[in-house]
Amino acid sequence: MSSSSTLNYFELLGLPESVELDRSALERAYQSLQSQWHPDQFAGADATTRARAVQQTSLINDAYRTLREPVSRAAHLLALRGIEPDRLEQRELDPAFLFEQMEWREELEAKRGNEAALGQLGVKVDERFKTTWRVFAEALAKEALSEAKREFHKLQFLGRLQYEINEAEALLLDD
Amino acid sequence: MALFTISEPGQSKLRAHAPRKRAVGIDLGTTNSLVATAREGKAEVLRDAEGRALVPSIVTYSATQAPRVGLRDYADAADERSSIASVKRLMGRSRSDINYQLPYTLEDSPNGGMPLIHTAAGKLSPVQVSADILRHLAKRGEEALGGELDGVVITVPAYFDEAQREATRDAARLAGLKVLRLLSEPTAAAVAYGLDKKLEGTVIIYDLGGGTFDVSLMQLQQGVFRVIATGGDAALGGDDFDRAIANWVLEQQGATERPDSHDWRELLRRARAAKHALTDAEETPIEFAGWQGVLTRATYYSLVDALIDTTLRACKRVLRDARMKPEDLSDIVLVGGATRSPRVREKVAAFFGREPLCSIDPDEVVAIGAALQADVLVGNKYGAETLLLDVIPLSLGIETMGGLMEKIIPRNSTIPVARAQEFTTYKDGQTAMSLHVLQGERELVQDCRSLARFELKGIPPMVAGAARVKVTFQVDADGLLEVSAEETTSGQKASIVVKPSFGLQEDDIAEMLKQSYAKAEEDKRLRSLREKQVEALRHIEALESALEADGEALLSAEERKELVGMMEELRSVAATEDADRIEILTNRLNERSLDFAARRMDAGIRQALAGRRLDDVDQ
Repeated sequence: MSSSSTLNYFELLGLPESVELDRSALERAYQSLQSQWHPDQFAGADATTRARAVQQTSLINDAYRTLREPVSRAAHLLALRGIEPDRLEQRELDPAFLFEQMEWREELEAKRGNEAALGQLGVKVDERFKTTWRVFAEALAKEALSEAKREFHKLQFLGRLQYEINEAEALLLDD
Repeated sequence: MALFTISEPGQSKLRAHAPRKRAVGIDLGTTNSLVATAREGKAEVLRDAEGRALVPSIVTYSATQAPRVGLRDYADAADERSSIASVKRLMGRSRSDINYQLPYTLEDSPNGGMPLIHTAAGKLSPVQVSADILRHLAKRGEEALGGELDGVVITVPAYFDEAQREATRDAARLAGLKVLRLLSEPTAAAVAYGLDKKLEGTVIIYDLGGGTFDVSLMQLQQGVFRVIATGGDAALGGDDFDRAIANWVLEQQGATERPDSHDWRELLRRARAAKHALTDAEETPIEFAGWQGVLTRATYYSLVDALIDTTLRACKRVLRDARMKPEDLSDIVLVGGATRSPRVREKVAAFFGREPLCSIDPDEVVAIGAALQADVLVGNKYGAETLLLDVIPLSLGIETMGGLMEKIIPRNSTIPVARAQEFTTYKDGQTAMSLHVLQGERELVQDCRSLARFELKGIPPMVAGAARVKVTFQVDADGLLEVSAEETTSGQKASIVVKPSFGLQEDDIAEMLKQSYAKAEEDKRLRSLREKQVEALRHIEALESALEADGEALLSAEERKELVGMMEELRSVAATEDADRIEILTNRLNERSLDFAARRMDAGIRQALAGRRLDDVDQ
């Protein structure tokens, strides 16, 4: 993640730096840069040029992926403000939130195998994600960075939980 | 040369008077292979004198004659024993991966990689057998296009892992082909439908070939072909349907031992005939070694439904990965000879809730797509811009403490992709670190495929946990991986680049190349000389126009003088027959001009960022 703190992915893709993102603008910018730099455009070129095109498009792919997902976009926005989002201090998380997380994780374990119950838990977590996202956005808008960072860590927790619920649902499909 | 035409990325790099280049697309299949070529967006498969497009992927070896490719009937039993079929299943695989019966003898290779196959022409690697098939197809292409090929696109199953892709690329190298791109088979099919049938939207490409199954979920939109998620099984295909019938016959017959390879071939042939007969008939007689019976559709379905269900589970997973439902799809496209099976069509239609598309011949569609893309990549632009965004099918990672696989690049990441992760030492004074590169989705190392092991040496002694080893994975547009590692805390940097080369080592390839070159030494020398001359002139030409465009702006007078001097020296040497010197000077010029190219590319990307091109700025 060290390179992302120096390189602004919004700038790379020619998009305004903001919490909310216009998905179709992102898609357009991504495809236009890809068509310019994709290694297929340099199929007849020498190895060095191709290697460079591979590096450029890797960067463009990384920028696209980072901005598309809300949690990684939030991390990037913090990194651009000189905040190391990966470092989590214990005091930054309020005990009530942690307690709720533990409860939800227990709920997930208990409901593995029950598709409907997993779906309900998913809806609950999605709701909490949305409200937390709003708080994060407001904090960032007033440059209240330590508050924004605290909300970001909540988003991280919630995002991971969403992922695990999804994986649990996927496992059910395999049977 | 594109290196210097970067100020106009995405634009035609070929001048109007440039001669048409010869390019083909090759579908290197498990049971059959095809070659096709395209012109102005229209592709056609190339046929033999009898009008047949499909070349059986069978190579027949003999002690005295050159290998023969695509023989359907054997003159004698010796031919049959030395006929190697379905070699694609052995590519990038070790002997322990092969858990089914083969009609030929395998032997462990000395270096623990791909097994060697016993033939009348000696022990051969699967890569050599594949190279023979590629040579045959390339020759058909050369005859049709009237000269040596400038480049080929070879398709591989989307679900092929690193080792299998590497093996395919090695085979092409052995066959002396210039590979423009390894293209996923479903992506090639999508290109054919997108360009030829103007198909757009979110589609599933369901590709069931003779020996492999792939499913890709793709978005097709105005020349952009984007893979969203992919899945499959690199060892499941229509051949398994035949095998299921054959095993059923043996069971009915009460056979206590496996038939020998001759009888097994014969049984598979009859099984295939029965399978085809059931397309129209409700039941069909089948006999083998004195046993007679009837295969009904119901029995047949009970034998193959489990196989088809395996493919549908892969479809489900792909939809899941893409967070989509069958209703979100605009079309289902059928690819691969095995999708001719009415049972497959019926079950696919039921699963997705709609009739699948198959308006382009499912045997030919992959080669057609590959040919269309080859034509573009070789530089024969005709106005249609295509952009193919593919993904890696399986996660890539590294072994960590406790025998666990740590994923560095997750599956379905759009390629090219680069990702780095930091690791540290766990012992005081540790000066080396061994790294084990893996591919797969499972947690435990033993359940993943081992791609490469290498050691990073020269780490300065430090206390445990103080060193910072940055491991970088880079996957190119062909899906091929390079791993490098570097210790970053000290000024002293150690780094190593490894290419997973499962099975074949560089020396093996060099040795095989030597063998295949021995016969045509002189031809090769001349060909190589021509290539070097052409390469030198392309560099000169590209540099000239680059200097003209940006030399003033981006280089000092001294730098310009140096480049021009080197360029003129190369020009005079290129007129001689001294291939080595041409190469040395070309490389030297290339090296010297790298910095200039980099400056141009940086200037280019700055323009791209600003949403403008250089030509806007010049005015």
